[in-house]
Amino acid sequence: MRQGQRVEGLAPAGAGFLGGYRVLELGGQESLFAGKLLADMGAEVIKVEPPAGDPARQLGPMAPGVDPVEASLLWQAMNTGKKSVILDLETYKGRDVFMELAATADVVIEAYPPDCLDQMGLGFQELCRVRPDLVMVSITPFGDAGPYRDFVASDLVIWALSGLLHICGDPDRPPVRISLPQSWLHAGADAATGAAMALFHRGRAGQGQRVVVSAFKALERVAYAAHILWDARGRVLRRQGSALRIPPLGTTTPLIWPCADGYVAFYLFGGQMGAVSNPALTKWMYDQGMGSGYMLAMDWPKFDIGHTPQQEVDQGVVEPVAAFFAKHTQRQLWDEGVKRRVMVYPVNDASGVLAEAQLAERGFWVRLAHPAFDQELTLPGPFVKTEENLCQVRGPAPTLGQHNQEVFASLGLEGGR
Amino acid sequence: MEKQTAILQGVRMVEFGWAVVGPLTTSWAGGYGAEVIKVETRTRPDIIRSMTPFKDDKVDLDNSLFFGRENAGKKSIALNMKHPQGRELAKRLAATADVVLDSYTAGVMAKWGLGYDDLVKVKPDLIMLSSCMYGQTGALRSMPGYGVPLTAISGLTYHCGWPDRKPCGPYGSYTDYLVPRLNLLAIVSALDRRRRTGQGVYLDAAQLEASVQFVAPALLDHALTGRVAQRQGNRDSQAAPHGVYPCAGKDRWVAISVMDDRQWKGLVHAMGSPEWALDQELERLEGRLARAEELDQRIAQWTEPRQAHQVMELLQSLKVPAGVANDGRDLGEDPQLAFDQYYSRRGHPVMGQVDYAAHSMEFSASPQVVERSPCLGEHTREICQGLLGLGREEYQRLDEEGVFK
Repeated sequence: MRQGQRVEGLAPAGAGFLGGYRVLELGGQESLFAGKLLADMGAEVIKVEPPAGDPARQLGPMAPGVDPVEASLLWQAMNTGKKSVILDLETYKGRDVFMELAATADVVIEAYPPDCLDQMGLGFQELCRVRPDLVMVSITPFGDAGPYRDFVASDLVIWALSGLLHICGDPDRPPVRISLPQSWLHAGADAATGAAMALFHRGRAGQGQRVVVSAFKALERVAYAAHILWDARGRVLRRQGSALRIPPLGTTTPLIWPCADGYVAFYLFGGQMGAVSNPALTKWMYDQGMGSGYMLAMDWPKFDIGHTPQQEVDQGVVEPVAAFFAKHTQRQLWDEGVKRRVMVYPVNDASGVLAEAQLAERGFWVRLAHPAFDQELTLPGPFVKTEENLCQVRGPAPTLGQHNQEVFASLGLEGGR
Repeated sequence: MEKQTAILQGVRMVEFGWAVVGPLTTSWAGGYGAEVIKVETRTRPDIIRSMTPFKDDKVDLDNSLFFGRENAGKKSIALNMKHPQGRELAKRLAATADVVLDSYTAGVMAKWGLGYDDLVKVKPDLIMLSSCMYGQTGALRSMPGYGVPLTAISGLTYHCGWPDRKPCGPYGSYTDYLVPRLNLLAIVSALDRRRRTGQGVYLDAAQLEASVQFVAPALLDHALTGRVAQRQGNRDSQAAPHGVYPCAGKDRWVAISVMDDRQWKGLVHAMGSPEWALDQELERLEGRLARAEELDQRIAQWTEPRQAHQVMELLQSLKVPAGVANDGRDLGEDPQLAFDQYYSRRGHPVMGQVDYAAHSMEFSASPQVVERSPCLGEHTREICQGLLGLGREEYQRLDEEGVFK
């Protein structure tokens, strides 16, 4: 589609929202999702890897019996549709070639510690000398200035400082995160958005710029309730496990319930929200011979959990519902719940997500062949659907250095490092 | 000096949204200069206008900090969609929009004559994004839901908690805070395509399909190997020690992640090189993983009498990843958030002075500005008599008919 020449702002959009743009992606786990999303949107995304491969190639889960450089399934999931070139940025030659590549790029995404690229002579200002209207997106834990600037981070540490960790978990144990790392996915989505916004701006104003994304701030948004409760009422929000505690009486009802073969998520809203599911659940239980007199007599829009004593809610509603759920499997509850419009949802593990009929019906899953794997890889499809598939997964993750020749030849260089 | 222009200056977004996903998507756009008009009604108020916390516990549709936080930087027009004139004005408003956002159950907008097919006739290059639980097609297209159970069905809840207990899930409606990021990416990408090609587009954004992106490696793993990932508390299969440890005070914690052997040396040094920690076996990851339980207990003994901030500062000075588990009060006092002016304190006509949070992206040439949230229908007259060109008398007549309820 392009042969290394600059594509001006008014170039045709090509196949995809961001067709015609070239993105260079530097550095580790932090940047993967941003590049993957831009590739889904149609940009040409080139992952620049050190000779030993990007460090994220070492991250589990690992596929058994596969070349270790290609075996990371986190890598496979987060690099679809990209190209890979090897450049040793520790050497003068590698940095020179990078500058030549940057001269052809619209966007550089990086996740180095603050100032690190400047010290290598590859900072924003240097890159602007070869590409004056460049968009550079820096994905950082805590921003590029301020007291936490030089802090070292991990997913767990970002959860902690953002306020999200403190409100997650059972009250009698330490706060707890989601075991699958999340911070860089939130920040990565924002970084992709920042790149697209800066390109839009460049197209209208002719000006590139630097975008700094803070994973810390991204996760503070997820911890939404912590700061507003303090601001509104001067109270610290405490984690409640899989339950919700409603003032003024502090009546607590479950969110996660055991069923015959796993767990389901269901919340007994009071008021209008509760009137969506609770009457239908009451009838369903009655139909199955497990009705509760208390529930049958309830005027659901007037059900007010916070003003009903704990014991009354437990005996009248929670215990009969728990007994009903325990008698049924996750799929029985979910399938019949859909028919009866009761919002009882499966707490899916990976196998449950893959089995969701709605996703199959919408043709969501993508199956890709990859040279290092005997079997096809099954991956999530596009996060947004359009008539012309402007967003789509465009191919498997690249093997290490797979596109050296193609990309370097487009610069008029020999293939290789 | 670079020219300072808000990126989405001149872009008008009309939002038919409620709860969090739709409203947060446009609120973020507002911070970067988009003009955002929220269409809402007293006949069925946005559900989070009725949700806690309320300023000083006073229950009022204009007094919820939850609503405020997710609706910063917008105007609000009240249109009664049960009234034909309300729907007509909504359509006229949408015809002036660059972007229409809909986060209702699939089919609601079409029922009102505001589906993409209807709107594209009056605005041929319209960008419209519909964000519902399961997408605009398929058996579940009109199944109701909200963020908490969507977090469960997406596979996120299952992976949050302790291996010996039922999953607890992340706090609240977790997916409500990842979906808007992808919605905004789709919208700004569509704006750039429209700039380049002149074409609008309809975006069918299923919240489930956005959410499962956040567990993709576990899905690929199961499909390929049959393994089923499990929640593991705060452990990490490739790092040890990796946990959350008690500190002095009530419910105070510090997170510590030793990601490599060098960081382990830093932690040992910080702890004063106790005898047990000098064991050679612990110098390598395998050795530490094998004794993760013991390490957690030893480290907890070290942290317990100490202040969380002191542990963090000490470990960070030795380049060991560590962070205080900030609570709601700490966030307002956090030095980095203060440095960034992350919370904007704004005067609101009903709530008084309250904080609004910023978004995570800062642009060197295009500042983010966070403005306050609107009261319900605060801008109805201004928008009707300005943008929509209604005369004073016509406005009065429609108001008496209940169109602006």
